[in-house]
Amino acid sequence: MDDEADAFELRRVLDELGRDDELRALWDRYHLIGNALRGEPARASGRLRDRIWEALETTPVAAPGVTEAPASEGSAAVAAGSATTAQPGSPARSRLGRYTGLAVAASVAFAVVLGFNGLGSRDAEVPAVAANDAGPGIVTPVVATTLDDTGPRSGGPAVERVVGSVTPRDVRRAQAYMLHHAQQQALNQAGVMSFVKLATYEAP
Amino acid sequence: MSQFPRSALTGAVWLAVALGAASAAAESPRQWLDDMNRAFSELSYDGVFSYFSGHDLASLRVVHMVVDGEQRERLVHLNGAPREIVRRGDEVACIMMPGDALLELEESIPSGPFARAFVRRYDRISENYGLSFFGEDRVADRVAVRLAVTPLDDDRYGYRLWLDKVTRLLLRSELVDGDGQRLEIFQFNQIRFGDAVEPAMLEPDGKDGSLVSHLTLATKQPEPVASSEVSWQVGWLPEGFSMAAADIRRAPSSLKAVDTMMYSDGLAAFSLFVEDMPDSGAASMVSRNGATVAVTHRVEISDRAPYLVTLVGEIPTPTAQRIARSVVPRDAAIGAGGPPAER
Repeated sequence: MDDEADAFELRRVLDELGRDDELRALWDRYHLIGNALRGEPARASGRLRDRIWEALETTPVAAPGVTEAPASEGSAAVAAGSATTAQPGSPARSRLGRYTGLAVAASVAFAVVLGFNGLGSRDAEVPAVAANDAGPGIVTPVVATTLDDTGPRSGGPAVERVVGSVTPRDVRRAQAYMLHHAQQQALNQAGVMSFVKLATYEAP
Repeated sequence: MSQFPRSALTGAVWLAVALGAASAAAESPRQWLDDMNRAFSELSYDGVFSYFSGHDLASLRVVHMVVDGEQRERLVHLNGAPREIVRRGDEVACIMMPGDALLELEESIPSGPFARAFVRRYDRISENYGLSFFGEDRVADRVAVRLAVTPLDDDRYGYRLWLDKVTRLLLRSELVDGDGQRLEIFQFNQIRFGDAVEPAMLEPDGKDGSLVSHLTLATKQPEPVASSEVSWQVGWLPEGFSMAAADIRRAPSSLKAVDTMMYSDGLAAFSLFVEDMPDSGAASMVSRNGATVAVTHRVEISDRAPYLVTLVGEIPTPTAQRIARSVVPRDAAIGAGGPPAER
């Protein structure tokens, strides 16, 4: 991979790779990281993507300094579940923002930005080096995010096109829709399982 | 014996045959699923269970009874953020403490009562899942019958269920992907039934300073959703999925319309949210929480303002991406007939 192994060693490693799934996954990951560091595009297979996610999930992320999250968007909001006693601007409200920041931070550790090819027939993911796209006042440990749109890439139909970069707003939107989906499901199903996702949702 | 009426004997034989047939039917996996569903709604039970969703293990207590014909349920989160969910019929209250992330997040979701939808339809699942028993086990000190719900393709997850042999209540479940990896596990550690359940246990603790958030179902019964009434069209759906509910809501932040659609195959479900591209823009991304995946996909097509598709559901990521990518405005689909250009 980096021209430092002789032919015998390379053959031995390749043989090992053929036999050992775990080693092959490691090889894939190193390849992907190497490509990303060199600014080269890389494509991950579905299985590889899963492995990368697993690896990301188990990789410790530098502890963020949690700061106050921005205030809730839009005072005219009437949520499906509206708090009966929360007062905007109250100390409780400030703590709310802080904890929300924590919850957002916890969930985005799993966010991966995807790229799509121009034809929409096959997609390719570009997990790249860690980046922090946090807006002012909130630290968000996005461990895998995009390559810059203007970065070097080769041509061909399989070449990924990367769309945007993850912001806390994007993560919050996805979380809110996850919650809405869980609520909709829970209300329409019988049984204890239906409300479990709500009760345990993003506990800080 | 000779005096025993012949008609009575014949009747007894027929009764025995009928009972035997009923017993056999009751032993089918489908019947066990139906019984499980009924057990959830009709039994009185009070138990403590564990719930593992990919990265976190939670403990909860559930109390369920039917009081005056109305389902009452109380779910208590025993670790982490103190939360209680109390249900009375179609009314659900979430009780949380100030500072709970859930409360803030709720303010971001589209407003309005929730649509009624037949999400779980066990009569349909045999078209897309194989059902089979796989022995017995012991869960929460009770004998459980194990039931496998195996998907027939790669577009949905499978389940392993442990049902109480006597009451048929679900004692343990595992949601598994195509590789057999367990994405979510639910398991009772302790449970009691019937008269051992005290109605007082349905009352919330009501800690000082707690906040209450309400969820309600729409009062009207669901009507079949005509696809032609929805502004968006899904170009590709996995076999067996159909629309269970559709609605138009307002995003709290912008008050712009968000089209919401829910699809189900009788067991798995996903929701689609389609909106105009927010002024601040948006990234295409995938995030996961246990078995739940959220795919956000932004689309630009000629002669139309860009829009944003978000799919959330308990389906494999490649399937979710493929569905999200196929969403087009109904008028564009009729006019062009092709997938939207993506960027």
